[in-house]
Amino acid sequence: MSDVAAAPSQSGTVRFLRRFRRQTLSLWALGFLIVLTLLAVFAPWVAPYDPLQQDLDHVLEGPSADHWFGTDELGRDVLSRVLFASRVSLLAAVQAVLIALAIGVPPGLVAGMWGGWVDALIMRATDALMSFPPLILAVAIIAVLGPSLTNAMIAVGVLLSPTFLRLMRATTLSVAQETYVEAAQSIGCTRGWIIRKHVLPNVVSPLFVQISVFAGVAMLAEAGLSFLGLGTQPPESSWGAMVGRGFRYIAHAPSLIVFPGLAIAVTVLALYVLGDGLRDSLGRETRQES
Amino acid sequence: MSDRPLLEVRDLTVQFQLGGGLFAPKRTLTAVNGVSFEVMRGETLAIVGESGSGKSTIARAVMRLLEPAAGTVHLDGDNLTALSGAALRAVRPKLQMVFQDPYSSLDPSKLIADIVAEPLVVHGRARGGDAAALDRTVQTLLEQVGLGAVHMNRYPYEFSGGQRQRIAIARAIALEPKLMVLDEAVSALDVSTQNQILNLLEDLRTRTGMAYLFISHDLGVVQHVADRVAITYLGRIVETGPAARIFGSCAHPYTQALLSAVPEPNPRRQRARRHQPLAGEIPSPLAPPSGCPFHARCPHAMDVCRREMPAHTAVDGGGSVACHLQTEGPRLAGKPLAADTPTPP
Repeated sequence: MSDVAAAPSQSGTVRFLRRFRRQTLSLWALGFLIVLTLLAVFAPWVAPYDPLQQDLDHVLEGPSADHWFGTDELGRDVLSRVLFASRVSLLAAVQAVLIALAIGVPPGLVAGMWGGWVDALIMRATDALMSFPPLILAVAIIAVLGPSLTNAMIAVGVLLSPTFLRLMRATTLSVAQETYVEAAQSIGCTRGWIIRKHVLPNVVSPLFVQISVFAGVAMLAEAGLSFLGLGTQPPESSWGAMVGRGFRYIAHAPSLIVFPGLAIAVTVLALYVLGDGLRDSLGRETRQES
Repeated sequence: MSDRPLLEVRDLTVQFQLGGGLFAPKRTLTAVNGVSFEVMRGETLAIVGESGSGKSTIARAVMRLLEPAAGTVHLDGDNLTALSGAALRAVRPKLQMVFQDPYSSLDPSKLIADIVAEPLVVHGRARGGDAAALDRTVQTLLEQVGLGAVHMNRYPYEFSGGQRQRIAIARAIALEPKLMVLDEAVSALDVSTQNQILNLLEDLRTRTGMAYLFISHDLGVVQHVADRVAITYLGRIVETGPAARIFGSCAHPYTQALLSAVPEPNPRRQRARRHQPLAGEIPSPLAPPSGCPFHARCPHAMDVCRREMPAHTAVDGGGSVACHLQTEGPRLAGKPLAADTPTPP
């Protein structure tokens, strides 16, 4: 029994890293997101101006050497405001995804493992949730809870949760059919042990892909809701809220919406590209080719 | 050693509900129909049948991976069919299973060491969390199946089918079971690997005195390993007996057809043999035929076969057979069929 290849044994993580390294575009996206996160964390030190400091002598100016992204209607530096707004936008996306995960993953696992009427009940409830028009549901949730960024993100999280639920249910269903789950049962493992030790480790990969893509979706939703005035409330600002307020001066100073708009577009694109790269590197590998 | 069988299965029936949607009527499929058999300590009982005969379902019902609709399974005095939850988990160490497909029976996300150690950990036999002692135990188990310490920190995808099946066997013997259920355990392997695994199983049996419930469709393999054989057809046992009697003078026409399909290594003898291919397919268990389930494909079918289910009658040389030819028809009771030319019914 010595016909095992002498290649060093690789854990799942090592294999994933080896494959991910080949995804150049995803590496760029990941690099961009890391830089963006660092900029958001260190915004007070990086930003050239105080984002709230008004300068009424220089309002609605275009990009210049002093103000790279121009100034807004109160003479505030747009670059500093974009940097500070990134904290709100990123945090909002994380919040929404965490809420969606918390609402969607456990019932998805339960539905996939238990099946039968439990599954039917959970899936019909999900169908009911998905049959609401998303914007109306978001507005309704915010109307009940009051307009604030957290409430807007709860609404977005609730709206995104059915997809996580369905994804978890589908992957759990297929893993639950695997013989190794039956084998674990025959050994005498409890259902909780099987879910924790055998099902969860084998269903998280597709989840990572979805998280990355949904962070982008959540960011877009936050931007949309803040644009409508249902999300971020002044003096706090997110990219969406900046576009919403800059919208009024679109003819005089297009730079007011161009830069936060670009920030949204590039970040969402980076998240999608990262999601694609993750999907390609996390795919099930059965046997090494080399 | 006591005379009581280690495993005693009585009138086991397993049914599946099909359909049952909003508009589809519910249909009941009887996969296993009133099956009884026993396995003595240290004995190998082979359950043989073609696809759809219910042999794997029997294995899963014995393992309590499926809920039987009726019947009892006694293992070493415990009524498995009456147990559930923690009480059932407590007796699981006594019976372990090796599955057909070694590619899906090992969790791809786990190291070999963790896979083999899992039964010990789950049943609290990991000696108080002493990692080094557990490692040594796992190593001993792997050595017993012809692997070693170098394989412990590898993942299942790094192994061939035969090696994976060895790992599955190491996991199954970790709890020192009294009965091992082998569900087509060598069917997915190529012939030379099959032989290695069969030798390993024989080796383990002589060393530990385990009993095997050996599920297979391959009579050629069964001939090498079985002490006794039970032939299943459409969810019923049609013939049982000591392996020597089954392979020497079988009594059921279905067994005969199965045996004639086993290739003979000697070409001269192979050519001289009268091959009786079975016509048609195994009937659907959703619409089982009346009378004897085999009558539609039986070369000796008589009127009575279409009307009445044959009862099990004892056969010279041990075992029993459920066939009307034993009691009536053109042949006299109990006369072996193999020597005769089939006459039209």
